[in-house]
Amino acid sequence: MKKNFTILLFIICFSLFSSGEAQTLVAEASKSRVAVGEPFQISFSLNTSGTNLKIAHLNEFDIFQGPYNSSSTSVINGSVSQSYTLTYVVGAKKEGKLNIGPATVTVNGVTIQSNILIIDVTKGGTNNNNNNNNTPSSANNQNTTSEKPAGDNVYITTQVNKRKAYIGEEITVLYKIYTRVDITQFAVSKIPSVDGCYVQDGKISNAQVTENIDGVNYITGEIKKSYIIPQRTGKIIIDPLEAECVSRQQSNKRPRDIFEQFFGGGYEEVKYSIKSKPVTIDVLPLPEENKPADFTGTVGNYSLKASLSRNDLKTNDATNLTVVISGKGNIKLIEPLKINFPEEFETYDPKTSENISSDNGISGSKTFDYLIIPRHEGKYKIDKINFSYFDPEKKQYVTIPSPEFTINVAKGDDTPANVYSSRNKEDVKILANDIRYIKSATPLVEKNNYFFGSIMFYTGIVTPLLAFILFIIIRRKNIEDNKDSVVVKSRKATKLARKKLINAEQYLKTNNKERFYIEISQALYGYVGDKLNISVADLAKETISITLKEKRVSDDTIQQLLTTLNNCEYARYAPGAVSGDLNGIYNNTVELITKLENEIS
Amino acid sequence: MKSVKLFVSLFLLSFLSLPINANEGKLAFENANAAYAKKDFDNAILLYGNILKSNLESAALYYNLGNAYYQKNEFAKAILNYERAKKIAPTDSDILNNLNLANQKIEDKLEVAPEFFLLQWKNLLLNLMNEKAWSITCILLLCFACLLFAGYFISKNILIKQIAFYSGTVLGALFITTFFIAKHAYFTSKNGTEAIILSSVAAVNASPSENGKKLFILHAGSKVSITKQDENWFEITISNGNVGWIKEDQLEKI
Repeated sequence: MKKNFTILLFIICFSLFSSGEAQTLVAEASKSRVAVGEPFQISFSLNTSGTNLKIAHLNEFDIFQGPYNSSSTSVINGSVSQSYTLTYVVGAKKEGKLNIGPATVTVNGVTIQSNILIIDVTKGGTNNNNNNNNTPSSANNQNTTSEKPAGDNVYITTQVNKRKAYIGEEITVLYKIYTRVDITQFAVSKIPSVDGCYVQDGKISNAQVTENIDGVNYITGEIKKSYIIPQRTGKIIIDPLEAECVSRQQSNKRPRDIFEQFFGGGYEEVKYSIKSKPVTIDVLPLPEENKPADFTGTVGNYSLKASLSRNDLKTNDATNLTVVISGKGNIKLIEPLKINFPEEFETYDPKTSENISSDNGISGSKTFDYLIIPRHEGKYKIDKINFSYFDPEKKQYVTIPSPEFTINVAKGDDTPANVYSSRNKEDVKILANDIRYIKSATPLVEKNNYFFGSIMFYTGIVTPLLAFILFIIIRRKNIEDNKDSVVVKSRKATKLARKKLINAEQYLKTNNKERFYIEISQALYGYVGDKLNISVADLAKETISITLKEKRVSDDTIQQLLTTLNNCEYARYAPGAVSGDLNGIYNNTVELITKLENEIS
Repeated sequence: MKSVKLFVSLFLLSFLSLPINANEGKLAFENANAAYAKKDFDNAILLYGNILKSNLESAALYYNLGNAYYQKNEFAKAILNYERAKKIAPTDSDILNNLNLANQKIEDKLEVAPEFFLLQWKNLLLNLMNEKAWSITCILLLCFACLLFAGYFISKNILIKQIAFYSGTVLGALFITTFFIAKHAYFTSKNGTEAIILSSVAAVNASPSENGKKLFILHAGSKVSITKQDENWFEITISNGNVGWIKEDQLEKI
């Protein structure tokens, strides 16, 4: 209507001032009050032909469409009039009073200026009710679709089922689009991130539902559904979801030709950037009151089932303990239960399997399979296992015990076929380095009690030395003494033998045979006895010959000595039986003693 | 010979006999250990210190005192006491382990200057036993050497004579070596040529005076060797070979 009116005004003006050739440039806005991002039209109209049209900078606005040129020539009463219009569809970037213009144009060498437009921009979304007259039905009637604000036509909401939650409690987040225009294209440009949460996407329904909001019918669709489980306490912000959609709307632009009209011309595509609002959720810590000792942070609502595959088995047979935890909540975060198996069992880390669905909240089950191999026979008991969780609805902790199991193990075959030789042997893990503990027992001694240099030390050094020297001296003396007696004896031996021989010589002269032989034999026995240091009692011929042999006296000499001794004895006890001259025996004996003297070493 | 045996046995017995106040000391030691076990380290330090004041000592006493200081995060004093314990028991693994840990906690990480390998062997040998053990080894070696030489004189068998003579000679040589090692150990132990820095920051000067040019800074816990003394200044050498003068009150002899 306004536009029509404007054109009419132009015509009137033109007709009024046609003769005066008054040229005007008029700036016009479709709305003087708009919301941020709301599209509206601005147009610059010139009632004559001009050149060098300069539009003021539209930095504070997003140009959605345009510029569109339109020109018209009319002949009224023979006079020709021209008009030219430039149209933009823009949206304000920020709120406040924004100025547009002035625009300038040169007509016949004269520069003319347009008026200044003042647009009052308000915060987005506040003018929903103001524009209620722009219902889709009325929009269809009028060809002004592209003027409608996006904040009103299309928007996204973030819906959460609770604003306050315990840590670990599941929250449903649903992003929904509301539209009252036809959407031809839709794309999510930014998927929201949620810090500090475990996020699991849920299924969305593709159905389009018509909802009535404040008396206006909107078509709604679910964009995205997430189940989030906060992992920390405090405020958690769910970031906005950003999307871009293109709506196909009837254009106010005249189709250029018939083909365009035929192939769907006359429609234009309007692009909207839409964004949901961030949502803040308060995450509360779990109450400390009545917190079970074995609580590991599991929140939700669960049930526990435990079963043993076999109760009666033989040694080295395997059995399985299966623990199934099922329910609603952060199932993925459930840790394997710590079961106290008897030491005699060989156990392995449990095999974990999950079956989680997120159709309607996170739910499902987690199964722990413990493989047990008893290595020794006997009757064993597996203690009950307590599984604790926090129920956010009841706001209390729940502990469910598993049943106790007894296992009877009979003695199996002696040849364990399936013994794993490599039991889980691990290197000793060094957890920390700390000093070793204090020592308990100690003999305390006086300070500065040095042993070296003390009297005790020097006594210790000197005493063995003195003892050794003493030992040497005593030994020397003994040896000296022994040596003397032997030497003396041996010296005396020759002397005595000579004496006896002198006696024997006298008896030889007097021809006293008996005495002669006695002297000779005594001289020999005495000499050998003294020389060899053998006592008279031991003086037998065998001893003499052995001792002489030891002294390395030649066999000839020994034989001669023994013969001479024998002869002397024969002559003494049987004087008639021995012949031979006494002189020969005497000389023989002297010779023998000389030999012995030389040979005894 | 008998007299020697008698002497040796008497001599060994004299070692086992304890000082008169040893029993009292033992009781105090147990009390201090109890305080340590209760994590009352302040009290433990006080009690261990009292035993030391009564002129008694042992490797375990210094070691436990070192542990108490370690628990109080006074690493310089811990190192000082571990070093004192090490002087008495140079091969005790507990002492070496804790000393090593305490040394990792101090600020100065001194590069050890490479030593000539013979010098390394010498230090290794010297650290094998303490002064007492070296002295006793020395005496025992002498006794055995004398016995072997006596055996040489007594024996009539030539082989035994030879063995006795040569081994006696070797033991005699060892006796002389150990005597000098014991002497060295005695002097180093008595004169205390090594010290630990106790003040948290200690400036080392170029000359023994306050106005001397500052050469480098040492922190608590560093071990230094004292090479000279000039009134209340010490000339020190640190393990990377740097030399300078430091005031007496900033360190304590091991």
